[in-house]
Amino acid sequence: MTTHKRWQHNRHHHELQDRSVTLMRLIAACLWAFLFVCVGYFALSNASAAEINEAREIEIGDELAVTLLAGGKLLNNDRAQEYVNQVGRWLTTVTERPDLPWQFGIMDRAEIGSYPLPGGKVLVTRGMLKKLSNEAELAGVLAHEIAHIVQRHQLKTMAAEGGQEKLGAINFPLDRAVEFEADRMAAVIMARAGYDANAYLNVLRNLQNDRSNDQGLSMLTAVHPAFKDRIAELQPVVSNIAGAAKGDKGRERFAAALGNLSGMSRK
Amino acid sequence: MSTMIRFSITSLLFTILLALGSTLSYADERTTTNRQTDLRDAPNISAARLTSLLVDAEVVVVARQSGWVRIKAGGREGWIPAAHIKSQVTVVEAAPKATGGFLSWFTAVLSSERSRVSTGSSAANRTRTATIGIRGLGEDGANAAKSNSEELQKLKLYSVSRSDAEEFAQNAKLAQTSVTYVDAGSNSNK
Repeated sequence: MTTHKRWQHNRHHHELQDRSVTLMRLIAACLWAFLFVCVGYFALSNASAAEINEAREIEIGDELAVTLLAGGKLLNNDRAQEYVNQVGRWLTTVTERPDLPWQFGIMDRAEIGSYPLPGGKVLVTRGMLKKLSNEAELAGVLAHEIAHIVQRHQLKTMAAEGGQEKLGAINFPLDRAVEFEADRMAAVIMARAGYDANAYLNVLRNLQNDRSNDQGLSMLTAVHPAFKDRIAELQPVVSNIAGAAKGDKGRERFAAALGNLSGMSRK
Repeated sequence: MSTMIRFSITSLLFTILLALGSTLSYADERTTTNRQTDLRDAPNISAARLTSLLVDAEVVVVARQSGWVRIKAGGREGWIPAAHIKSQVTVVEAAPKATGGFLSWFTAVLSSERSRVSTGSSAANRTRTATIGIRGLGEDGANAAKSNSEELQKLKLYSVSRSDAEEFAQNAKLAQTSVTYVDAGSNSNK
């Protein structure tokens, strides 16, 4: 075999291997999401959102958290976990539900994801944090999930659609309007808490431009409207309120707490 | 990649067990509640509440269905979420009544182990403590379920108080401002 042919052969082999790795990851992500939805469905079946009081809402969040954490443990990094809680908890104080038992956690998973759970829990993956480069961007991601919880979006969606039909659906796909609402609220929550809402637009743009073909990103796009649409919807809102907070982006605090696992190291 | 494969398999097993869980019937298990919970007359959260159980209440699990367990406690029988009981259980009677198929393999493994333990003793004495998270997964599955609720406890431990968060914001010089939410399709504040 000539050197050239051998090179071609190796390249072909690597492509095949890459493809099977991607496929395997996609299957894992789908199964994981399906499991999550199953438990969510069972927890919420036959109940209307209005019937679910706050205590029950928190219990549902506990049950979902146990399921979700079966698919990826919490990252073993106290400083990083504390920091995400500080930022997240600060954001919640400017919302309409400041006194829920808010808990934030970093899951030790590579895919890009963040998950709101009823009753005040938000889980973000290590993969998501890697795509962020400052505290304001982190605040944007957390604020979007906080908005879902403040508005009880999941409970309302599950109750409105009866649960049964949602069984085959993946990862609580919420209505497009609901996602846009969470985006708009996120920008406002950020501004209220002293962050520049432009940072959130930045996150959406970066994810839109991400060509890494991450299996987690494909999950994210499967359950959310296209980034292009979200950016278009959010742009005027941010332009309108950005003047309210042109603050510090918290790059140093972010680097100090998350630098070793975030995208900071790439820059 | 090996983590992914292992995870795929775990996910698959959990999903199948969740989906088929209701077709199995097991021996009674004794355990306790891990929190205060409501006993309901059907396995869903809108079913009528029969009574309220305190944390650490002794219960006997008589059936499982779709994330719920049917239990006997204090002379009453009803349903509570499966997540509300401790995974450490005592198997009172070893008599798996699996209905065949894929899952019978799991129960066969479990029952062969149990029958060795129970040989020659009366039903009342045929007790054996086993750590069973989701029935059928065996000890490994049980350890996984146990560590998952440990993860939930960890998540709670990591949380910070409102005042701690406010102190963090103050140190970071994050000033709170007043901004109202914006309606869909509107470029102006409410």
